Amino acid sequence: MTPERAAGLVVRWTRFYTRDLPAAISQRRVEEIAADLHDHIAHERAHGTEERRIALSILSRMIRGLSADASWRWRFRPSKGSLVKPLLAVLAAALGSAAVVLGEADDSPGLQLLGALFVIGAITFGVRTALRSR
Amino acid sequence: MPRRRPGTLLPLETEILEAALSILRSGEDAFHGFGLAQAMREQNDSRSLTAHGTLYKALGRLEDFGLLTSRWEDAEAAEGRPRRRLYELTAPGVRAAEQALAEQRDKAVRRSPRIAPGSA
Repeated sequence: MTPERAAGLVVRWTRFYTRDLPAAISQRRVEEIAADLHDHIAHERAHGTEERRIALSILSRMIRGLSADASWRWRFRPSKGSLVKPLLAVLAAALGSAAVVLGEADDSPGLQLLGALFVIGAITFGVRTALRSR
Repeated sequence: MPRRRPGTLLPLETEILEAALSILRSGEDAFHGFGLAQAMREQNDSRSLTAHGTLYKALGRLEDFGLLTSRWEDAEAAEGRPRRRLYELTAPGVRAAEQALAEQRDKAVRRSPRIAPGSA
């Protein structure tokens, strides 16, 4: 991977986590990161660093900062709604999976069918909740 | 990341202020993100640069605390490359950085081995 490709990936990631934020905030972050990436590549090249190493260093900076990016975004745009619905969906999916496994162990196709319906319902509910919260 | 006690700075924030102060003392009024990351790498004798997310989030917090100010570089000064966001230490920022350095020196003195004559 070339340093420019790695930098492109970082810019795409920055655009992604700044989406839906006020334009001034997202633009500042994207432009600031773009300038940083440009300076990083220019500095390393001036010091004769291998292209692959520059790309890896850029990716490493991105990956190590992922959680900070997420918490920074959270500060400006906390996710809507409570955590109750997503938790219910996860709980229902877990119950459904357990029913499928138990149904197989107990040779009970009825329990398995019920479990499968639970899992499908939980996934549908989870996706619907996620789409509505956007 | 360590939890913040009210009224205190996180180690990364202190590190940023110290690096900013050393840049200021070297004669540069303002610094930019990558320049700061590089100064911190040299200061810590580290191999890697601070992550983008960690660095810019901390810079934003320090700005919120009034310890730094920032502005965009003039387009002419950028000479075709992406414009840099330039940061400057405020007066409270300089005081906080000096205080952090003084505390660090105190800690280093306390940690250094004491050689008391005739203590053996």
